[in-house]
Amino acid sequence: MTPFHDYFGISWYVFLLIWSAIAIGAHVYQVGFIVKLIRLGRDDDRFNSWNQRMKEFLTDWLGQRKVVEDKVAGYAHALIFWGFLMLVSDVIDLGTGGLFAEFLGMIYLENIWNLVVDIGYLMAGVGLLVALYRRLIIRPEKLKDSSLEGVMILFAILGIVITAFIVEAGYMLGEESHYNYWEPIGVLFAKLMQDIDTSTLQTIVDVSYWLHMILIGGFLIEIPQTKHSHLIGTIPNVMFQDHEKMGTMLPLQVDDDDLAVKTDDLDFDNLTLGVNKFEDFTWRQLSDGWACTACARCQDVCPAYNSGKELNPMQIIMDVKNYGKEHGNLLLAGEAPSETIVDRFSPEAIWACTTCYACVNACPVHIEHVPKLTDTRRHLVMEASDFPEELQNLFNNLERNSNPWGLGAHTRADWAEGLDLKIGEPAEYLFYVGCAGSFDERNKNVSRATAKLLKEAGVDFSIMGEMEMCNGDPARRAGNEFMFQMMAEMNVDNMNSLGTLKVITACPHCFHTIGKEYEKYGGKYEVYHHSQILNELKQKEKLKVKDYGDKVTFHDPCYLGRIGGETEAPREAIGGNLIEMERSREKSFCCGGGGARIWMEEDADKRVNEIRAKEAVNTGADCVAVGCPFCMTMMSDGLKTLGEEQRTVKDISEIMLENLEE
Amino acid sequence: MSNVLVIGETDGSEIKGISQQVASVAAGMGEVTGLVIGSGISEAGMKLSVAKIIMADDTSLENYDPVKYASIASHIVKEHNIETILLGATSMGKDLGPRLAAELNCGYLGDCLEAGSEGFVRPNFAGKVLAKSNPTGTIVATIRNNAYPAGEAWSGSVENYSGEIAESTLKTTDIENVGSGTVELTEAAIVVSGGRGLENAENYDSMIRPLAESMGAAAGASRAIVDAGWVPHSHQVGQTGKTVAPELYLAIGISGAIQHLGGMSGSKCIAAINKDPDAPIFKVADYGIVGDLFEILPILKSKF
Amino acid sequence: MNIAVLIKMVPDTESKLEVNDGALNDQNFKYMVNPYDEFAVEQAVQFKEAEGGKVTLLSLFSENNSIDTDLRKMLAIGADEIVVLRQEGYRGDKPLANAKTLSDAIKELDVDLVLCGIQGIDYYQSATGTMVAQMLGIPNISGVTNLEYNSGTLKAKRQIEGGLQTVETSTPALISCQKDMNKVRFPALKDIMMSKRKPFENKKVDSIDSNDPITSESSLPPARDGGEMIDGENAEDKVKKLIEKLKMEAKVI
Repeated sequence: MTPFHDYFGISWYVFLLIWSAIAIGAHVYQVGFIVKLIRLGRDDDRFNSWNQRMKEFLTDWLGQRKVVEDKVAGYAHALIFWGFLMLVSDVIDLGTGGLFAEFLGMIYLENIWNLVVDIGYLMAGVGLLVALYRRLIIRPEKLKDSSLEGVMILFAILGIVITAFIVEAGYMLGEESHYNYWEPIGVLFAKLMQDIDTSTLQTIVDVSYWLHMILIGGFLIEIPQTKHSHLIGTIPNVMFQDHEKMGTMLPLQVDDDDLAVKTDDLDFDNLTLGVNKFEDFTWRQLSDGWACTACARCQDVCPAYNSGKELNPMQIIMDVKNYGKEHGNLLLAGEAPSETIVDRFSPEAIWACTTCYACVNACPVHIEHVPKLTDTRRHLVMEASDFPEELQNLFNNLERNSNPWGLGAHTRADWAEGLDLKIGEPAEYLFYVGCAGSFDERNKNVSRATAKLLKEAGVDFSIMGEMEMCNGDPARRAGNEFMFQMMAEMNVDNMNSLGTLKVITACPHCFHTIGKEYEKYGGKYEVYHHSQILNELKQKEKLKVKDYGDKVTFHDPCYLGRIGGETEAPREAIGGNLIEMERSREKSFCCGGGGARIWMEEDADKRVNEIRAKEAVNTGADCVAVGCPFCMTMMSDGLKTLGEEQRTVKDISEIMLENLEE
Repeated sequence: MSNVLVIGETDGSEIKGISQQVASVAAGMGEVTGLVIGSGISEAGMKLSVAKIIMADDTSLENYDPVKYASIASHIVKEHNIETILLGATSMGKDLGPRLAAELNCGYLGDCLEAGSEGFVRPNFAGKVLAKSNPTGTIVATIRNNAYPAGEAWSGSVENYSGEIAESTLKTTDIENVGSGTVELTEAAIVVSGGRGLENAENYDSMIRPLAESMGAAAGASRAIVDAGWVPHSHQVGQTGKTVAPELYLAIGISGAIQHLGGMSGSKCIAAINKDPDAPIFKVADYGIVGDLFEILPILKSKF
Repeated sequence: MNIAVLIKMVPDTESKLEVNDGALNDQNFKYMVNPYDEFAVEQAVQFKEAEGGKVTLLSLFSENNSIDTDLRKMLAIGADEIVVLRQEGYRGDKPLANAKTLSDAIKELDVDLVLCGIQGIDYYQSATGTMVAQMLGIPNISGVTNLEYNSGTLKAKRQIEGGLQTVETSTPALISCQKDMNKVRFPALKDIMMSKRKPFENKKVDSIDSNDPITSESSLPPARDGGEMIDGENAEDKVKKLIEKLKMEAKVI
C-alpha cells in the first residue's frame, strides 16, 4: 500500500506541492540572504589549483578525513553524512509518488538503488543512535551546556529515517505481501508490521509519509538558521581552503606577482588596515561562520580557552555568523551597525590568542580562526591605536634597538665572544641567532651550544652580528604589520647583501617568519631549525652523540611542529630515553608564549605554561627538552610555579653538546 | 680663592642637611656668604654653616618662586662680587640654579658629585659617564645629596636682605605632603626590589619595604611575587611592568629572568643578593652577594 | 592657545658609551626624542584638542645627523609643525648657549605656553628649560606631574621633596614636564602617514659663544668586569664591603 491517494477528497500531491513550495521557498530565500552577506566580504582569489582543490574536496568533504579524527562523534557523523548522501534521492521518489523508482526500473537500476538507499538509511540510523547516545548518556564536558536543540534535531532526523522504513514496509504489505529483499531493512519493518490490520496499517503509512515530508521540509527551513548551515557552508569552506603555508600572514598589499608592496609604495588611501567591520573580512573568512558545526574541537585544544581566558575560538566563528545575522539588513543596506566586530569579539579575546594554530589544525572543515584575531589586532594597533600598554614598550624597543627588550643593539653578538665565529661574512649557512639567543642569558647558552656543535662538525657558517635584527614576528603577531614589514625589508636587504641562501636558526619563530613569510618581501632562503641540521650531522656521524641518559620529554614548539611540520628531527637529535606527553607532535599544546603573548601581561590564575608544565611533570621526566627560546622561558617559569624546579629545561643543542663523545 | 655664595634651604624649623653639605664644600673654596630665602626661616637659617648669612625673610617668599628667588640671589651675587654660587641639588636648587645662571649669563653645572678647586665632576648618561670640568669665571652649581659630609650648625653674622624682590605671577596654592616613605618607582634614585627568594608576602612587607624606606628608595618587585599576590602590580619591574633606571638597583632574591632585566637593565649600578650563585641576575649585576638574604637583609638595614 | 614644545634629540638610552682620550665617542650614536619631551608633546596636543591653537615643535641639533623619523612621530601624535634649528658645532651639554638660541627662535613664534621635558637623558642638567624661561622673561614651573589649563590660568603640580607643590600662573609661562605626567599616545598608522604631510623645516642658525663650562675630561666609572662577587668571612663582612663599594666605587649612595 502507498500513501499516494486523495485526502479529504483532494489529491495528495496538492498538499505536497504546497508544502514543498513553502519549505523550498523559505530555504532558498534564507540561503540567498546568507550568500549576499558573504559576498559583502573582500576579494580573496582562491579560484585556482582546481585539481588539488577537487582532491581535497573528495578526501576532506566526501572522505570526512578530519571529521573521523574524533573516533566516536567523527564516525557517527560520517555514517550520517554518507548515509544521507546515499539516501537523498529517495526524497525525489517519495515526492513523485514512486515515479523515480519506476524510471530507474526502466534502466534496470531500481534494485541496486533500493539497496543503496536502504543501507543509507541504516547507516544514518546507526550514526544517529550513536550521536544520541553520546549526547544523552556519555555527555562530554563540552556538550554539558549546549542547548536541547542538538538533541531535538537528532530525534527529528531519526524520525525521518524511521518513517522512511515504515513507508518502505507499507509498499511491501497490502492485500498480498510482497517482500522486496533489495530493501532488507524495509523487509524487517514489514515483517514486524505484517499482523497489523489493513486500515490501521494504512493510517500508519499515511502518517509516516506526511511526518517524513514535514520533517524534511522543516529541516530545509531550519538548515540556514542553525549550525546545520554547515550542510551547505562546508562545501565552499572545504573546496576553497587555504593553500598558503600554515600560519603565514598576508601582507598589507600585494602586487600582481603576489609580492608585498614595499612600505614606501603602499597606497594608504585604498588600504584597509585590519578588520573592524563585517565587510573588512574576505568572503572566505565570512563563509567560515556558516561552515561551523559547533563541534568544539577548536575549543578543546585552545590554550587561551583552557587557561580560563576570554577567548573561545568557536565563539569567534559563531560571532561572525551571528553578527551577520543580527545586523544583516543594515549591512546589506550598506550601513554600519553601531556594534563593531571588535566589540563583538571583545578586545580581551582578541589579545588572548597565542596564534598556535591548534584550532585551525583541529577544525574538520578548514575554518581559519587565527587570521580573524590577527586581523582585528591589526585594526586595533594600526587604526585605533588601542592595545595592551605593554605592547607599546615592545614596539618602541623593536624600533629603537630591534629587540623586544630594548637592550643595546650593539651588544647583540656579545654571546659569541671567544667562540671565534665568522661575523658578517658570507658562508654556506647563516646562523640567524634571533633576539632571545642574543640577549637572554639563558638562551645565549643555546646559541653557544649550537655554534659549538656546528663548529665541531665543521659546518661553514657565519652570524650577522650587530647587523642582525629581530625578524619581526612579535610586531606582526601583535598586529603591527607596518613595523613588521619595515623590519622584514631591512632584514632581507641585509641577508641578501651577504648572499645568504641557507639559514639555520634555533628559534621556531625566526624559522617560520624567515622561512615562510620573507618570501613575499624578496627573501627566498632555505631555512632550517637547528635540530634539523644537528640531527643530520648526528645521522651522518659528523657529530658523535651518546643517547641522553636522563628521562626526557620533548615539548614540540607550535611553530616548529604543528605549523612548521617538523616533529621528528628534534626527537632523533635527542635520542635515548624519550617519553611523550599526552599531547605531542602536531597535537602539542602551546607554552603560552606565541602570538606576542610573551610580551603581554597574563593573569596569574590563567597561565597557559602551567597547564603544559603539568603535562610535562606527569611524564615523570627529569628533563623537558625544548627547541624554542619562548618555550624555554615559559616552561622554566611553569615548572618553577609548580615547585618542580628539580626538573631541568634544556634546548636540544644543549643536550647534544652535553652528550658529545670526545 | 673666590667669593662663594651658598644658597641654603630650610624645611621650616631646621636647616636642610644638604645645605650644610654644600656649606662644607664651599668652605674649601673661598670666602663664603650664605643666603637663606623664605618666610619665618631666620632661626633655622642662622644655623647654616657659614660665617656670614644674608636672610631674605618675607611672607611673600614663603614658597619657592623661581622669579623672586632668582632676583634676590642675582642681586646679592652682583653686590658681593660672587664668582661661585652653590646650591643643593634639590627640587628648588635644580630649578633656581639654572634660572640664576641665565640671569647672570654664566655657566651652570647640575647635580655635581664633586666640587672644589680640582674641578667639578658631574654624571652624564644616568651616571654611566662622568664629566669633569674646570670652569673659569662665574659659575652656578648644584651639589648632589650625600656627596659630602655636612658642615656643623653654626651661627655666623646675620644680615637682612633689603634689596628688591621681582614681581611674579606664580602663586603657590597648596603643598600636599605625600610623605617621604613613598618614592615613585620610576623616578627613584634607588630601587630595592624583592623576588621569590623572600618566600612569602610577610617577608616582603617586613624586610623590603623598611629597607627601601630607610634608604630613601622605592620598593619594586619581580613578576613572580606580583603574580603570587604579595604586592600590587604597581610595584612590578620588568617587561610587563615598569621600566626603571635608577642609580642603584638592589635585587634581592630575584633570579633575573630576561623579562625582569628588560625593565631595569638601564640602571647605573645593579647589586644583587641571591642564594643561587648561578642566578642570571649575577650576570648583569655590578656587585653580587651569594648568601642567605634572611641573614643579610637585617644587617644591611642596620647600616641605613 | 599656541604652544611651543622644546625637543631634545638624545642618544638612545642603550647607546654604546665609549671614552677615548678623555672624550666621549659620539660617532655611532643613534638619536631619539628625549623621553621626557614626549610627555610635553602629549600635554601640548591635549591642550590643543581642548582649546584649539597650534603646537610647534622646536628642536636644536647639529647639521649632520638625520633625525627625521623619530621626530616625525611627534607630529603623528598630533603636533602641527616642526622647526629644527641646525647649528654647526651644536653640543647637548651647553645649556646656556642652547637656551639662548632656542629662546631667540621662540620669540619669533607667537606662543602662550612653552613646554619641555624636565631634563635630557644625555646630560641630565635640567637647565635649558628654566634658562629659556628666564631669557624670555616668563615664569617657569619645573618637574610638573600634572597640568591643567583654565581660561588663561595654568595650574601645575610639581614634585618637591616629600610632596607636591601646586603652583598657579597666568600665561605665558614655561612648564617642564616630569615623567608619567600623562600617557603618551601611540600614533595610529594613518596618523604616521598623515604626519609626512605636515611642515618640517630645517633652519640653519649661527653658532654662538657662551659661558658654558667645557668638559675637560669624560671618564667611565671604574669598569667592573662582568660584575664582582663580594666575598667575606660572614654576612656582616659582605654587607660592609658592599656598602663600601656602593659608596666609594660606584658612588650611588
